[in-house]
Amino acid sequence: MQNARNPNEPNQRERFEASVLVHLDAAYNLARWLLRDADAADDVVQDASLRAFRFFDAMQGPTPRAWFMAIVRNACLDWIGMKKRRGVEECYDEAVHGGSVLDAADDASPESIVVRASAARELHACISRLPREYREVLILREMEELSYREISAVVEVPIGTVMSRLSRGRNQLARLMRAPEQRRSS
Amino acid sequence: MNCTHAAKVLDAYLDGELDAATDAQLAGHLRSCPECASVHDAHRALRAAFADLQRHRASDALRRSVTRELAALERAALSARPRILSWSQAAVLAGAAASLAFASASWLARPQPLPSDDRQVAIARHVAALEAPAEGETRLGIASSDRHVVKPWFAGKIDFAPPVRDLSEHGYVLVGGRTDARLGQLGAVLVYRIRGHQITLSVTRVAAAREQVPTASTLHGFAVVSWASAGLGFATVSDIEPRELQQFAELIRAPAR
Repeated sequence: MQNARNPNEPNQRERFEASVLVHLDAAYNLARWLLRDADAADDVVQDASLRAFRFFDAMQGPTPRAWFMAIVRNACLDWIGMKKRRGVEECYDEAVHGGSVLDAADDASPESIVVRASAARELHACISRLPREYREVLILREMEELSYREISAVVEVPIGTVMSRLSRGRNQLARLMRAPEQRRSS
Repeated sequence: MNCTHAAKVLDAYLDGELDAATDAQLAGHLRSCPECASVHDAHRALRAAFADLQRHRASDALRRSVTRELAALERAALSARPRILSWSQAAVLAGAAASLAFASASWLARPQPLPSDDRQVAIARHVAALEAPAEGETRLGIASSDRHVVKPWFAGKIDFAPPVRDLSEHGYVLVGGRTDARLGQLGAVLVYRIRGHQITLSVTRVAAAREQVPTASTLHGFAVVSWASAGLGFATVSDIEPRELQQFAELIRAPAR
């Protein structure tokens, strides 16, 4: 499983850092939304970054970002699978995983910050309740602004499926956002 | 364009992923169909709402840790290169230019300490070995309870001899072994079983100077006991009690009889 080519040419690591590691935030954000666990996200992203470096020579796909995020996503799914096998139910605890929702450096008025913060919190909670298939394409599209082609490479489904998942995901998300009382009682 | 078709391409329209012709057709449909227009507006509002959602960012600690491990991996890859040689090549090299090989080895092949996440690697190996599809059909390189079969199997696959002990009298049944190159660290993985629980023992080369007494911890719900001795780093992982795993570690450490 060693790389066929010498992975130690000068600048190999610099090239990796410049083309792949610059997407560490994107990778981490995806991992957080998939795993819902900050510690696990740290571990998985670190592991995936090193794995990506080892296979940097074999990089493929539309963009380095999509390639890296596919590796991170697979590592996340491995992790989720491992937890499932160990009988740990995937549960979402808003108090633990809620996280921040607004940039503190926003220059809007205090009132509108409060309104927007609560709207963002609502959205955060609703996204968390989406099935993983919808959640991941929405994060990749809305937060990371990946193209359909990139999302297709990351999630390993055809572009048509990306399209229909985004559409269904948004429909479901819109329903959840419209029915807060229903959501809380579920 | 009818509503069914419109619903299909609506999101691609919002995302700017439609070709010009379809884009124009949908824009026309939205002007004439209030229902589709309201779905469009709802989805567009969602997009706007996402803008207020703060992205999770990698912490500085994670960034530093990744950078550090990358540097270590880079050095490890350098030092691992001579070891990738086949056994016969290595023998020729050693015979023909023993002094040279030694001289270069002193700076090239200096073994790297296990990275800080060696326990992670051990757990990953444990899980990989757990994924056996069925009894008798494992993902092991060698499946045998006979240490005289398992131990020689590693020869030529890795450049050190992992201790393979028969602990059946203590209830630990040897299942087999495999090699694993996770994170650039070529290691031996031995699999034992007790009362239906799997125990894996990962053995990796480490700096000779690194001596470490067995340390028990739990990580991600697994019990992990790791130690280092005589140039080898050990990490054993299981879902049995940490105290029991420590006993297992002591049995592995006990000199062969």
